[in-house]
Amino acid sequence: MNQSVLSRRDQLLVDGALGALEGPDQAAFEALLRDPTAAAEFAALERSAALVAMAEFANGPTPAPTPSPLATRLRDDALAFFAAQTNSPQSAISERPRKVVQFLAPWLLAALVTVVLALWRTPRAAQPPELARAELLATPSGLVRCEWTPGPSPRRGDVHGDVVWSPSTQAGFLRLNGLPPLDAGHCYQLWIVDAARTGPPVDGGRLEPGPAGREFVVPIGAKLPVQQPAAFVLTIEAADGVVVSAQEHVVAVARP
Amino acid sequence: MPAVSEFLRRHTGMVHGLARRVLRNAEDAEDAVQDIFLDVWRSAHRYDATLGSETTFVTTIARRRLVDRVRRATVRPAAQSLEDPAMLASEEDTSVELREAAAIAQNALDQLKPEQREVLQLSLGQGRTHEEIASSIGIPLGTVKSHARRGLLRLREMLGVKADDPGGAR
Repeated sequence: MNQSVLSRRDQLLVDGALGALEGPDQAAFEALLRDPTAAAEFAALERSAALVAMAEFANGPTPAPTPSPLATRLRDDALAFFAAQTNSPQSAISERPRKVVQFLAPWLLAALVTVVLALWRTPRAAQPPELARAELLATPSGLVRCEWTPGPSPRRGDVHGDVVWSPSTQAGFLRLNGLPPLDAGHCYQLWIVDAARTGPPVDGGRLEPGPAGREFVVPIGAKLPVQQPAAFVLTIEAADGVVVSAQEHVVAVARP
Repeated sequence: MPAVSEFLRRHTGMVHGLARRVLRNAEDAEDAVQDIFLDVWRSAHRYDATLGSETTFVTTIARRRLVDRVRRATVRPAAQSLEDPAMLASEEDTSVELREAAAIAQNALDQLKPEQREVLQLSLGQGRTHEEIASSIGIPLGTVKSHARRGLLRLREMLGVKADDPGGAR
């Protein structure tokens, strides 16, 4: 930038960084930022301004403590943000090209892991299953994840969604949509075929069909340890469930 | 200490302090701090350690959001005295990184012309508008703007703050 006479362009960039733009200058400034070189210069000026603010803060009077409710809200916001990021298969983080991922700050990754751990330690009863599923998906590795496919039962409806299972923690979730409603005398029940186990599939728990037309998530309640899940099977059973299913009405199957 | 809590502990004090100074209203400041940290999470993929420290990254976002808020605000309380007890109440610590960056910036500030330094300190450190600065130190508004512009450009030069890849700034 010319040090003797500031051009209109330079004035706009510096005023933008100072937060001193007025009236029509704001529109001119925004138009100027469409130029990538100007935008990069502006960013450098912003960082310079930030350094001054930091110096003034560090050398100034000690600030008031952060109000406790604000600190709680900030933590909750962070938890919700990272949970949403991990919950969505279309999340910005997972979809970003490698180049950008390389620029992820170590603290962001650490934050993500911490959020997951923090959520993991939260008592299950206090946690929505959607959030719990999100935390499970964010675990580093070893997850079993598979999509539902329709079963042979004529009552299968149009089930879709997936299953997530962690062999290491013996926890998992069903994500379901399209389960047909049932009469009061029946329920849905999950079965887990364990390749490492002889005998009938492991009872994965009963579930309600969920709200019509809306996706829902339910935790898997395996009654026995599952070592090598070979299939997750959803059947229609009597209202109180059964110990061993005859698998007469298989509505959906998910195979890893 | 968990990373999120640690990150928030390192930066919330400064962000909150800046918000209090710039917005001059406790409730608005708290709202702004929440917005700022959400923006930090959303913008994290842009962080490039070769362009500045984590604290600089957070502070830059904070200033940008605060400037936006001031621009949108129809009413802004008068500048607070820094002797306000609410702003002197704690021993909340500042991070080593902040202190180091601040020392470097302060060294650069000290090399500016006194009038440039004063204007930048009032503007960027205390959130005063150029009009308020003109009024408080008794110089014409145009002169305040000139000092601020020249001062910031000189500071950038002294601090060696480089531009990032074109297009990656915002």
